[in-house]
Amino acid sequence: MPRLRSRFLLAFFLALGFVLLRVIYSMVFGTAAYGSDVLFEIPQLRLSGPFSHITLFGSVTISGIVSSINLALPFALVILVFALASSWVNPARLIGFAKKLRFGANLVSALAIALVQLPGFLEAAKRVSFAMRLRGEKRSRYVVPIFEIAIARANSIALRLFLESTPKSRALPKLADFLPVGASHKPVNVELKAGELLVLKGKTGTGKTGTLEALAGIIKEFRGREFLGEIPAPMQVGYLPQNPRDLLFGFVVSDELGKTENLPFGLSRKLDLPISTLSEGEAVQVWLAKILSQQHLVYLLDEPFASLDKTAQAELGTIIQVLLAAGKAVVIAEHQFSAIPAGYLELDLDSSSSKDAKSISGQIFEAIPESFEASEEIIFETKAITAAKTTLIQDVKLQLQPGTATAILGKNGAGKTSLLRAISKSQKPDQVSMIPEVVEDFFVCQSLREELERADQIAKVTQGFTQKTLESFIPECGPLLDLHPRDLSAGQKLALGCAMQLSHKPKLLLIDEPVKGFDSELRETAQEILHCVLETGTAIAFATHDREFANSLASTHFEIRDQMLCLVEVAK
Amino acid sequence: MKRVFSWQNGILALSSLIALAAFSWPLFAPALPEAAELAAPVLAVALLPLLIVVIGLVLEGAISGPKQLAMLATLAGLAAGTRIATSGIGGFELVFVVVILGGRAFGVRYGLLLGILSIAASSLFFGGIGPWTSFQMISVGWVGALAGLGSARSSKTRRSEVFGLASYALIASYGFGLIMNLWFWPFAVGPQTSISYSPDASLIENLGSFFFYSLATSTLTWDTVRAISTAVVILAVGQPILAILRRAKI
Repeated sequence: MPRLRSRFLLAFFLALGFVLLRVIYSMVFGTAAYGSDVLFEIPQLRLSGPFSHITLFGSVTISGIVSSINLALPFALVILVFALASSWVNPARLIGFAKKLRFGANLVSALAIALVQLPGFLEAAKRVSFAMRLRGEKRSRYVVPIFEIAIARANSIALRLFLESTPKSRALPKLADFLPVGASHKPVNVELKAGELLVLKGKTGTGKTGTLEALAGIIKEFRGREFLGEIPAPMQVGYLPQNPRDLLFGFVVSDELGKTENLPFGLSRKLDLPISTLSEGEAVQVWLAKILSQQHLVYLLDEPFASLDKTAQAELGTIIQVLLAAGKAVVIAEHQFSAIPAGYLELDLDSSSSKDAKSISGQIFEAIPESFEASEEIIFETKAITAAKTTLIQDVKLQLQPGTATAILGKNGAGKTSLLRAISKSQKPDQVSMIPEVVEDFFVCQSLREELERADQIAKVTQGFTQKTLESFIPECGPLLDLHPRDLSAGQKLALGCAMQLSHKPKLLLIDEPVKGFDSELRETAQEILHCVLETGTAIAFATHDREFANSLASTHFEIRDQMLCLVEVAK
Repeated sequence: MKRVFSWQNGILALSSLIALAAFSWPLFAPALPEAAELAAPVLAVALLPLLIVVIGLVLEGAISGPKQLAMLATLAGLAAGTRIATSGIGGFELVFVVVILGGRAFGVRYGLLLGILSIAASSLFFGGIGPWTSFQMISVGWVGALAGLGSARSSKTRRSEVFGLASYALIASYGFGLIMNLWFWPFAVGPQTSISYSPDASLIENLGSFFFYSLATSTLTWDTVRAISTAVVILAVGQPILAILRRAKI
């Protein structure tokens, strides 16, 4: 929330405005004849009809002005007093107040939650308007993704409120022949034991999240999904969903974590960061720190490593070992296994019926006409990259050669995303296409089919072009066409974002975290597609944590270290 | 389906009527005995917060679980955010988009709460709060509630519904401007001008002054900007947004 000083200033200007308005009204709508110290005269105007008692203008006297200022002052004072009084109200106090109420508690907490979401929405509005600009979409469409963001956020907050309203888990949850209606995998049986680590494996979209939600008991009562088999009753567990940013309430990190020392991931130094500007990885760290402090019996973590950097991944590995040693049960759904502590049990959700993704290298770009002339290199140079008034990177110089890929590595919050955004802003829109970190910000339609058609229209390419590009990522996307774009899996969404931007035939494609949430197979496919993009002469620059993926694609690696962009030797 | 004639709806209707009376105190205060006449504005300003408490307590049953609570809070946060983001250009035109579409998608009671909470949140955020805040809360609440009249929760969004809502947005914007001017006009111009509220004048003369004040200060300017921008945005994105809201299971 704005500081007391700026709130007081605002109230002061409001009060001043009120006094000035009164003075102007007294001139326009005729002062009563006060005194003889006439300042200037405006000819009087008498109205007729129903307004016949009204006289406009007339002489303006000093005593008249003084008297209207005097009469306005009490109101100006009321404005100031109320502004000061209202600065006492803040979300934490409101929540505390709500807890004491017998009636009306829900409304007071709703008000508190509405308040803490405000900066997030202002941030989301900026993000979406940036994404719409990247996509070349019309201004009025901005509102659509913002509402989608609001709904997604409401769902996350509801999930948190729901979990917090259930009793804390006392027993370890168990699944017996669990199978969501319509799922393609085999029934799942899980029996957790204290001190055991279970890893759920399976391709994108095979039901790993559904299984975690079943273990937390929320698939039926909260999601309203039908299923077969037995699941535990809802109970409070340490649950990390895929996008924990939406679960966080508060203006700054310390609103969630308190002013404590000894937080994991070096968060003790980040307590004053605004929650609305946290990167995805930082949001994961904050939520992990939050649930760890709550001392649960069971921890369910949905892709916890995906957006963490190497240091944080290692720290999370250690944390998990400590939890296991303390007799907790931990379940992880993950695509990357390197950072998971050894000695875990695994459950593979892939069923034999799932179709194998075909390798389709070189297929799609045959469709592109020879519009790609030999493009010249793109040079980006700047003194400093800043975000929220802090300098992240100094003296940046990047030369991006046509047909090469450049990887940008760095810790969470080092400025990878800010660097990509700065590059995209510095070039002409027809030169650069960027895919934002939150790819959903792109989506403005109600089905995948409409979204693909819209992308063709915006990029002015032949109808079906974008769909062909998408098919090269996801070979059989026919059944997906009627789905809502936001109901696609994380991997499918990124594939759609890539396809949409490739239709613009850019000289440089910027991608923020291209393979986050991709399983190894999809990662390979993405790699092949991006290789094809490179062959057409397009340059690619991408931010990633995944060194393996960076090695497989990029000939040049940069790492952001201590506010410097350093060229890194590529390990062969 | 909830019954239309329930005790809750009775209390809501009664509170709204009393609130309407408080809004229009300048019109009938002169008819009251002298002591009551002086008390009328004070009473009106004091009454509104009480009515909001009553309405809030009655409506709390409408938010019966974490999903309803989270959706209400989030939409109110969104509306408040748009009020702050767009406040430079003529008041709260885009707040009305959120409140009208939210009320339409989730019903009368929800719309009333959404309007009340949106104004409360945005006013608290920047401290632009005062005796006028409760009047804004109730009148924006009415804007949301009336939008929800006669809407079926699961219906598909038709083009005609969006046209209807856009026309409603025009009327609601002007109506909101008029009713906010009605209670505040005596304070806004002060006691000395030729369009001042005068307890001794006839109802006709006071009405004339009020309409002139409204026309000159807000109807032709702020209210028109708000009316047109709200209607235009609803026409442009009303259909996808209603689809999004109706898709959300609460």
